[in-house]
Amino acid sequence: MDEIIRFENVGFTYPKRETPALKNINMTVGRGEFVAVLGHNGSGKSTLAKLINCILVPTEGRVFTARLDTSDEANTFEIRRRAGMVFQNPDNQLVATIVEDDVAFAPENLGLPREEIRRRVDESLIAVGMYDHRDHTPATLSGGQKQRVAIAGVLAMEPECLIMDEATSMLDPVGRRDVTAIAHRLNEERGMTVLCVTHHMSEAVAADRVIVLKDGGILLDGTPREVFAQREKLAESGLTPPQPSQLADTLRDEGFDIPAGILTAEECIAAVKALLKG
Amino acid sequence: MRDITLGSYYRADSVVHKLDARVKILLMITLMAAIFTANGTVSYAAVFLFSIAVMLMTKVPLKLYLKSLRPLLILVIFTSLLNIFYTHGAITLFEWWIFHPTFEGVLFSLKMIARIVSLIIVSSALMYTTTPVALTDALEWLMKPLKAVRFPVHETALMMTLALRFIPTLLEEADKIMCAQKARGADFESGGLLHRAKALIPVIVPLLVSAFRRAPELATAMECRCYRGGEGRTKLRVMKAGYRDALAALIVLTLLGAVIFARVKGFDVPPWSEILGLI
Repeated sequence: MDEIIRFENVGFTYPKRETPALKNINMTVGRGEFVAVLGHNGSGKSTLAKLINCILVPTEGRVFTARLDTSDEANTFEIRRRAGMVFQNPDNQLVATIVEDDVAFAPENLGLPREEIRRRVDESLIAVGMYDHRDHTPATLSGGQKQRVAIAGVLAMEPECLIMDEATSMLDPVGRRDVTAIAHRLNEERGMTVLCVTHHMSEAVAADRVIVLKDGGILLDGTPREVFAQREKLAESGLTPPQPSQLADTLRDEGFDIPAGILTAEECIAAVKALLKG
Repeated sequence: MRDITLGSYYRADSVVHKLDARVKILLMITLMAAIFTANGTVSYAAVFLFSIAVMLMTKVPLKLYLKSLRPLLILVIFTSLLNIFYTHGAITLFEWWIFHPTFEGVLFSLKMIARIVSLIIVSSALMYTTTPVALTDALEWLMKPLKAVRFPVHETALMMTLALRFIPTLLEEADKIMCAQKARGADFESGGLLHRAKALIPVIVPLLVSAFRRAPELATAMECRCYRGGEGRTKLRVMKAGYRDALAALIVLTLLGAVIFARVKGFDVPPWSEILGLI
């Protein structure tokens, strides 16, 4: 698989801090992967995301995004165009008073011709289902809708990779579901790489790959099934497995015959049904 | 609450709405110049009637214009009364106690009323028919020559846009903070002016802190969307001035020209005393 993000012995220490936020990170994300990054507060997961598109530059080692070295300032613009980022607070990332003007912000910065900007704005707004709101003002939208506009604003750059830095943590359940669904659709339909930093287990379960960080290092890295089976290590990192896994594990601990590696509610229901019948 | 990001914009389908915002701003300035240049009765009447015509053309409800006139109503009444009674003139209309209103006084106060009302109508017409987005874009374009003296034109326009964008957000936040302080027993309604002003400090401080916290986040988000200043930027919205704008400019410039001509030549001052003397 072609790589899109590569970390080589990356360490990062914030200025005027003693303890590094990240240390000795080695990982590669392939094109088209859907990766969830989990970790407790202060585990360095947000720092990791910010290293990908040059908001932060590693103090040790090197980060390559789309095979471009993030430490080289000449690459910054190209990297940011290829790896778009959506932030936590929808209010602090929208810049214009009209939805379509906001989506146009990035292509305007890229200096694209007017017709191309128009096409990208329309396509991006359709992709996130906000086309009908194109002449509204952000103040009248819900949190989930604002976040969808923010995603459209990033899509208008036509990036290869979408980074979501806790993009759903300030949203209500409906907004969270919509935003997550959009991320998955972009991943499936366009083959876009998605890296989503989150503390919602349910979001991690739906990813192709889960990376768990603890104290600035990678603790676990694998498919959700592999990662959530490591109960002791998860507990060590201060994370609790998804609820269906917890229920299945508790039942198994009590001596019931339930298979390991259950992640979703559907799987859990099926296993319990089978148990009751048997 | 009315949608604040639209300012006082009133959506309607009128000729004035369709004019290019840059042209509209320039024409408003031209009209104001004409209003201030007018000194004769005929000029005043022409300028006033023209403003009324513009007002009617905007298709904005007259109620809105009256609303913008209201704050100045007292000023208008007060100054016109002063003008009526304190302007010396040859023709005294009547005498009562210490009042000797003269014909010239009445005429002069009518002119002043016409001037103030025209000014308000013209500026309101611009605000009612132009969206803040169009206004900002137009101002950015009009300020372009200032780039020569290193005036940060693009940055100023961006600041205006961001301010418009964040006013509703900060208002909402101020409301939340006020509720939070009220829940802790803060009292914003009673007491004198000074007391109430003091009570607002616990609202303003957290509001400022949060605004300063938002700023770097917004800056990062903008950089992530490849923002690097005004250099090499293109625009989704393109302003186009057409024959309609040229025609409007022609009419307004003719008006200004006529008013200036009348003032310079001085033949717009009818010999009122002679005319009235004949009657």
